[in-house]
Formats: sequence, C-alpha cells, structure tokens
Amino acid sequence: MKLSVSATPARAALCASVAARLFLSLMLDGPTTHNGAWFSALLAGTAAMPVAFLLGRGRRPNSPRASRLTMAVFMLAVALDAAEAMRCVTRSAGFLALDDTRPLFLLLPVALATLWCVGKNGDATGYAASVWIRIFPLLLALVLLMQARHLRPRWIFPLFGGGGGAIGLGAMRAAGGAASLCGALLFQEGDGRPSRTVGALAIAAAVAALLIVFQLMMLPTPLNADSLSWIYRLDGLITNGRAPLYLQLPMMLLWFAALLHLLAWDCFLSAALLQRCVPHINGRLCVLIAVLAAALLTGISDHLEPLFRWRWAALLAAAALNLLPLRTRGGRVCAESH
Amino acid sequence: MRRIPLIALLLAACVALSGCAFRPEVENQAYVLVLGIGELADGQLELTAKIPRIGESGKDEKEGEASSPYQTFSARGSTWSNALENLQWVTPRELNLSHLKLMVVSEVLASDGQFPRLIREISETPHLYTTAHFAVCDSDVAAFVQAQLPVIGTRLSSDIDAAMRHYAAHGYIPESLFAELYYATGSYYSDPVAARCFTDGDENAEPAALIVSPNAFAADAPEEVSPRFGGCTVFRRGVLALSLGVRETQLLSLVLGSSDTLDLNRDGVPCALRLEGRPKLEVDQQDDPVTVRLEMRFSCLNSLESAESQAVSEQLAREYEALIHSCQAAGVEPFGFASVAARRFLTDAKWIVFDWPARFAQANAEVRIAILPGV
Repeated sequence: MKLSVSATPARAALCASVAARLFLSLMLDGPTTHNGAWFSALLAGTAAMPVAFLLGRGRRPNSPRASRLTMAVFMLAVALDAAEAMRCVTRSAGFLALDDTRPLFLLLPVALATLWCVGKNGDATGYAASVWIRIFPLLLALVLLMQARHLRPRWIFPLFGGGGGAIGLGAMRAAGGAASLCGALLFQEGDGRPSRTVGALAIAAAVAALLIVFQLMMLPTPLNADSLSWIYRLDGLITNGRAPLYLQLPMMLLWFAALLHLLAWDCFLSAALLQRCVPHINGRLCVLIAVLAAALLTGISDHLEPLFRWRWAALLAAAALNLLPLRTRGGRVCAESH
Repeated sequence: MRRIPLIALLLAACVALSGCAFRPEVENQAYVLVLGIGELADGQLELTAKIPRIGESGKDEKEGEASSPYQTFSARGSTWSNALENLQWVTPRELNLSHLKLMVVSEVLASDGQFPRLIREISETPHLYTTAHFAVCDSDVAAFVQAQLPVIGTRLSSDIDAAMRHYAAHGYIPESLFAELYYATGSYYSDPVAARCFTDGDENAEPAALIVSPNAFAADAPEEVSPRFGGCTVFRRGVLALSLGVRETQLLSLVLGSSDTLDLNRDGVPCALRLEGRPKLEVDQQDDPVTVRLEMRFSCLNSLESAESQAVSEQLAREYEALIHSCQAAGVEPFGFASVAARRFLTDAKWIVFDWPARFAQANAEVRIAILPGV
C-alpha cells in the first residue's frame, strides 16, 4: 500500500489541523498563556508560510526533488507533534473520565481510532477533515450563541498580554507545529501550488486567533500564568463554570474532534514520510509504526520542551535545503523522493 | 468475512472506552450535594457532606419507618486531601463530588491567608464539580449543612438551585460559583464576590434582619434552624477582605448585572426601581488620584414627582458612594472598574506597574444616578 494524498483533501486536513495545533500550543500546551496569544497565532501562521512556500518551490510535477534529509526532518517533527496531540487527547479523556482509569485504557481507543483512520490512506483522512470543516462552524456558532451572555470582551485587555517576548516565543513554538503539518507538500499529488497552501494556512491562523479571543473573553486573565497547571487550563476551556452544562456536549465534540483530526493528520504525515525515507516498506507497516511511535513518545514529550522552540527554525532550514540540487560525485541527482 | 476482525477490533475498542470500563454503579455512589468546609480551633479542616440516601423513597429498610432522605457525614483532617480521605472513610459508599451543588466555607477559614492554596487544592481535586454554588457561612458550617433540607416534593439539589437563583435575581446575594472565585482569584481584574449564608437561629446572622426577622418563620418551624442566604463577601487575592450586608449587596448586584430591580422605602412609601441599560463604568487615569465614575439610569415603576425623583437619585448616589468608600477602605474593588482601566494598557507589565489596587484605594468616586419617568 502506498500512502498518498491529493492536493484538495491535503489542504482541508492542513487547515483543520493547523487551527487545532495553534490553539493547543498557545492556550494549553505552551509554558504560559496570556492575552497576546491571539497575535502569536497570527504570527505563527505567517511564520509557517515561508516553509510551505519553500516546500512547494522544491516540488516539480513528475520530478520531485525532495531530499530524504528534508523528509526525515519533517517526519521527526511531525512524529513529535503526533505525540503531543496524543498526550493531549489522553489527558483530556483522563480529566473527563468518570473513574481513575489507567492511561493505557485512555490511550488505547485513541490509538486504535487513529490507526483505523490513517489506515484508510491520506484522501480519507483529508476528506474527513473537510467534513469537519463544514460541521465545525455550526457547532461553534451554537456554543457562542448560547454563551454570548457570559463573554466579557473587557477581559482581552491589555491586548498584547505578556508583550513582545512572550508573543514571539509563543509564535515560534506554535509555528513549528504548523510548519510541520505542511509536510504533505513533499509528496502530495495533483495541484500543489504553494499559494493555495499559504491560503489554507492563513485561514487556519485566523480561525485559531478568533478562537483564542473567544477563550480569553471566557475567563479573567490570570496574574501569573506561568505557574498554571495543565488541568487549570483544560478546566478553564471545557468546564469553566461559565459554560452551562447543556453546552458541554458541543464543547466536548469541538475539542475532541479537532484533536482527533490533528492526530490523524500528524500520524498520516509521519507514516507517509517514513515510507518515502525507507524504500520498499509497506504503507500499513508505516502507519502502525507512526501510531506506535506517537503513543510511545507521549510519555516523554513533556521533556522535549526546548526542542519545540527550535522546531520551526529546523523545518525552515530543511525546507530551504530541499531547494538545493544535491548531487553525488558523478553528478547524478541522489536525493529523489521516489 | 474480512470484516469480522474489524468488527471485533471495534468492539474491543468500545470495551476499552473509559466511559464504559469500570463504570461506577449509582447505588455504590455517595453523591455529595452540599459540602461544608470549616476550620476547627486546632487548625484542622472539618468537612461536612450532605448525601442523599439511595433507597425506596427515602425510607429506612426496617419496617418502612420514615426518615430523612439525606444523610450528613463529617470528617476532619490537617489538610484538604487528608480531610477528604477521612470523609471517604466515614462514608459507607464511594464519595462522589461530581454532582456537588453547593460549597460552603466558614468565614474564619475564608479569611485565612492559606485559603488561596485551599481554593487551588479543591479545584484540582479529580472529578469535583467546580461549577457548584459557593457561599461563605457566618455561623457554624456543620449546622448550616445539617439544616439543608428539601421542601416537600422536591429534591435538595433543585431546592438549592432555585434558592440561589431567587436570591441572586433580587440582588440579596451575588451570582456566586466556586469556579468563578477560583478563576478570579489569580486574575488582575476586579476582585471576586461570593454569597453569604447563615442559619437563622444564629446570633451572628445580622444580614437576615434586612430580609426576614429571625422569628418570622417561628410559626412554621419552631424547633428547627433554617439555612438562609443574604449579603456577600469580597475576596482579595483569594482571601476574604470585606463582608457586605444585604442592602450593599443589592447595590453591587445592579452594577455586576446579576439583578436589575431595586426596592426603596422612602418614609414608608414603597418605590420600585428598574435598571435601564447597563451601568456605565469609567476611569479617568489622567487625574491624580484617578477618578472612577459610575452612571446608572433607573425607571421608577411607581409614579414619582420630580422633586421625589431627585431625592431618590441623591439617596442612591450617596449609598453608592458609601459603598465605594467602604470598598476602598478594605482595599478591594469588586465593581469591574479594573477591566475598564486595563483597556488603556497594551501589555500586562505596564498594567501591573500601574498598580490598580493602590490607585483605586486613592481614587475619587463620582456617582451619577438618573431616575427616568415611571411607566
């Protein structure tokens, strides 16, 4: 089985997963949250655009030049992203579970669902995301409509929260995740014009910024956000005391569906890139390895925080490297993706 | 045939889902509806939990003898987790805090400097429903929890919701949820408020005088103490800093938007006011000290002469100024001026350096009340 994806579903998956990744990075998984997170989301989306552009430039119809090194860097980045996403799904499930369920039992259904979804190949994963993109605004509108009375626009001030440093660091961290999700440009089929991918990134960043603003209006900004636990942030997002009980089902759907789409796209990308890095390997085996790797890395992704900060720079360098014509002594192009 | 392994896999996945595996049976759960948290003289925490009996119509198993459909359990411990563990031990079923309706804390405990830490510990307790109503008890917490009984034909849980909604709608107490207090505790905006409660047989139940006479219900329940709600408390950085009576709470609730009507009594003549639009809060930071302005418009449901309207607006303005001054004296700002002032700042650092609590304490207060012609 060859893992592949067409351009249209790839853009849908990119849009859904980047929006989820930016929100997750800036409001839950990052070392701090502050009022300027919406601006970080916009910056992160913008920072991911050059990576997408370089990847698109490096790719030519019928003669892809993507080097294995570029692919390997993207594969590692996206595998880390998958681990982060899987950890988030597991933690969310643990937070909401009625019993003190073991992490393994929380991880297993998520891993199985991802395995099944990604096993259907890239187009299925991408088109599932395009269905989600159509349902998502309806659910969000329902939540916002019922929640409007509780939103406090005053709480988004001071508008730039932690200031330039915090905004920049948040953007850099989130941009790494967003850029890695563009990895499909290295192998996708059909019209892979970078401008369309850049458009999808822009939409995703705008949606993420909007979601962050709504979340900021939901809860008063904490004085010292650095010391806040993950549970505090997740509780603030899902069961914050201001959302009525009847809204918690659509909120759960929004949260878990967005996370599962992110996870599925992450795992698909890492599996597809693995297949291109290691010749003659079966796609199903790649999917299994990708999901297993995400599950195994879940436990250590907490310790990889410094790595996340530099992920974007590494991806940008790898994408630029992809433009270089790598040749052997004999002058033959050696870094083909086929 | 190829689908059989897939179906088996999906079924196995369903079994592994956290909601279905190890499901807690309702009969085995002790659902805490009211949780009282008090502090004993030796510094220990005392938890008192009101739990519904699960059985046939709240009757005892022996000979159908009628009894209370609720049980009250109490336990103490040196820390929150220790006290909770002990409560778990004295409760004959699995303690379940996911359906908590009301959390009551003693005034002594809420005034303790360690209370913010306790708030955090409580909120991070797994499966505790943080959206429960929250109140500070002037009198004995255990007695208050014990006195919580449902009206005939209702459940205690719906009774609590109805009571809190009713009191908040009239402004006797503010809308008060534990989660709101928790999130506002670490925030750099205005200080959070919580409802006050007490038992009407208690000597300290001063705020009750404004709503009911302590003996008003004597004919109905001569030997029982009844739980009451009235007034509010203001927290500063998670520590109780100021208690307000019912009248002040009614004024504050209008500003906070949790109620929109106010009854005045002028020389024995009742006057019902309704708030028109939202209160307008302004902060003039150019002045030194800063000036805070509160503008409110009311319509009178009775017909008032022009002179009377003027007198009513002046009376209300004086009451609001007194309320603002008492908050300034206590170093709290529960009105919402902070988020208005924060608009002028671009970053947290500049806002924090501005030191709003100190600025508000020194601020000049201007209150403008307009009474519109009645309907």
